[in-house]
Amino acid sequence: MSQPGVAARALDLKGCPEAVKRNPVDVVVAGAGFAGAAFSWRLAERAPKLSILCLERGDWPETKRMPAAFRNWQRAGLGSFATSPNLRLQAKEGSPSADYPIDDSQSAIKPLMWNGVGGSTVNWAAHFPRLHPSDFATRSLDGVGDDWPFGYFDLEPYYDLNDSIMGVSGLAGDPAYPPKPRRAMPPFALGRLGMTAARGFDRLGWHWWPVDAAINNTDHDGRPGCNHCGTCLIGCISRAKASVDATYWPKAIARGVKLATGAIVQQVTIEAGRATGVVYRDADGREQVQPASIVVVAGNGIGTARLLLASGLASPALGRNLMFHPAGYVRGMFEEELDGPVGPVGCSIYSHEFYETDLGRGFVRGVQLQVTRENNLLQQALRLERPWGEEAQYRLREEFRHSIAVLVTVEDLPEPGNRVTLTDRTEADGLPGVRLEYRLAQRDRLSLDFGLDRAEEMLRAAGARRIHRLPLAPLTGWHLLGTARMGSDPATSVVDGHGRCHAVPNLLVADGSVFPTVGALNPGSTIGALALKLADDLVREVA
Amino acid sequence: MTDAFLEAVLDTILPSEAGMGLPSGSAAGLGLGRQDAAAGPVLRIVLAAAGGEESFLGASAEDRRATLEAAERQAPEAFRALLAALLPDYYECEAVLNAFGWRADPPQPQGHRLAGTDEAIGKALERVRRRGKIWRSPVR
Repeated sequence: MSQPGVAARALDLKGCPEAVKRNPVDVVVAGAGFAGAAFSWRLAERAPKLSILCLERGDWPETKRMPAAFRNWQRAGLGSFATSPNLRLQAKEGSPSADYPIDDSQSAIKPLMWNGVGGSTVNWAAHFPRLHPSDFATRSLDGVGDDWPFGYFDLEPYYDLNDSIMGVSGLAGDPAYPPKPRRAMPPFALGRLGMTAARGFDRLGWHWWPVDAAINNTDHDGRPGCNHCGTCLIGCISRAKASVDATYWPKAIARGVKLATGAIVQQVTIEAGRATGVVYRDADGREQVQPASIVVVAGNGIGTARLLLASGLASPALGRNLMFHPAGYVRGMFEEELDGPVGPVGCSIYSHEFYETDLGRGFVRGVQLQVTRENNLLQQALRLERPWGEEAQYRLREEFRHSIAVLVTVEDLPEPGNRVTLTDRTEADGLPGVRLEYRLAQRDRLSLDFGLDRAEEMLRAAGARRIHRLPLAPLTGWHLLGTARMGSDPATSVVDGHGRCHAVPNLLVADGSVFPTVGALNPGSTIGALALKLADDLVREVA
Repeated sequence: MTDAFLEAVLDTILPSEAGMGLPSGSAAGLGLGRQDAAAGPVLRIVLAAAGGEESFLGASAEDRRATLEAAERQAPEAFRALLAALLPDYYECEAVLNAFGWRADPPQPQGHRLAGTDEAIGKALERVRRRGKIWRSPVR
């Protein structure tokens, strides 16, 4: 039965005579990425009597299939282990990621993700910053975006808990943050690249700090220390990098959570304003009806919006306010030999000198400068404007092991016109196709240009003899946020401060989709902390 | 198309650099197949633009490059496809990696060494720490 606010897509199960109705569970979670893993573990820990089933469309990552131990490892980043699902779908050799196509032709930034147990932590860089306290109150402080329903200090214990499960290498005492506990492991060595950049920041008197990395710097929690192979984005063979298939999931399963792989949720079933469960397609292609008292969706800002739109959840804000973090690069070329391609790719140093609002800059909110590590030889060659001929080889010789890249990320503010919608196609996974519409606002361009200028200033201070700018880097859409945002008004938000859908209170969203605003930095740490908090909120409700 | 022509086109795309010991595309073991789906369209354009194989083979390195640049302008997608087919093989070749000062063995299992942080950097960090709080209170 359809209710106001719910216009269910009719799934024709009559055409699937083998549809199986399964035994009910208390909680079904769609998606085994960071949010689904953290939520499931915490819920199982706090409410051990609940039966919890997580359905994941992909499979467990297999280290033996990861490319870093093969001689042709570099090309894997262009094909089967590309960061873009659309590129992976084109790979002749296939991919272990269970992807669906995303029409990103109308999006200035292209979405990146991994679809399988562990989600995008399988191929992330594991840079692990927290949001700043001001990020939770942009409306109050700066008159833009919206305040979160809670603040940094409400989330702080969950940040700490999340850090302890993931394992963080870093250094406490950063004055850009309220005090954080001692990190489990010391920060990664900066290497020649990091030290050169640090000298640049130091000469300008600007803030910089070694990154918090969710990567083992030493043996920790049953996983080894990193050996600096530099291939984080094509999967971590050694398991030094924290991906939730290796951190949260073993703990969650030990606490009784059931995890089914190859299970593609087709629809959240909703009757009389209540979620009754989900319909999913199992690994053998059979439709399964899974009743549940509570449904939790954690499929990232695209997958979650796609599923909820396909399920007919007619919330006016659903799919809107897609945020990525606009990003650009400035690359400095140095005379001296550096060690860019060595070490964890996202993990050198960052600067939050320009993170907080300064109205003198002509825009509100801020900018992060992240000194990353560098590309492998093939990717460095392909990055050149004309990657062939003598000129290309001259450039490559000048740049490879002689460059420092600064990734500039800026705060992306919610814009209803930036959104996820469904197409008329039905994709191979049985769900409607999905399309992105995303454009940069004038403010984004202003703040990005400001950040690029500062990055160039730092690189020159560090001794760069030549600079190359990429004013907008399209293949940086890791952060898929905001499409089911939290708030108190059902007209402008999808869920309340506890992740419950306004229209269907026993349907929860637990991932980055619920961020009302996103700061100017990587959201992984906040996605994990938030999922833990939302699980605790649910426990209080059902207790 | 003769082998000499195919090799000349390939080595214009991926020339050698004796000073750094960088092999050309053909010396690195790559080849352009006459029937290769990625190479065919570009080769036909190059052939037409050069006025035949002999003309291309007799041209200077600079003129060969100019001919390929014209082909790239005329058929950018086909040219990109050809590069996409060639460059991974080239930059994964042991001699090429070595010429750029990199090892051919894969990153795992041996990993790499990351230089330790020197003392001066530690002092610079202390300066940052002494500066005190720069985060903004959420209360206005």
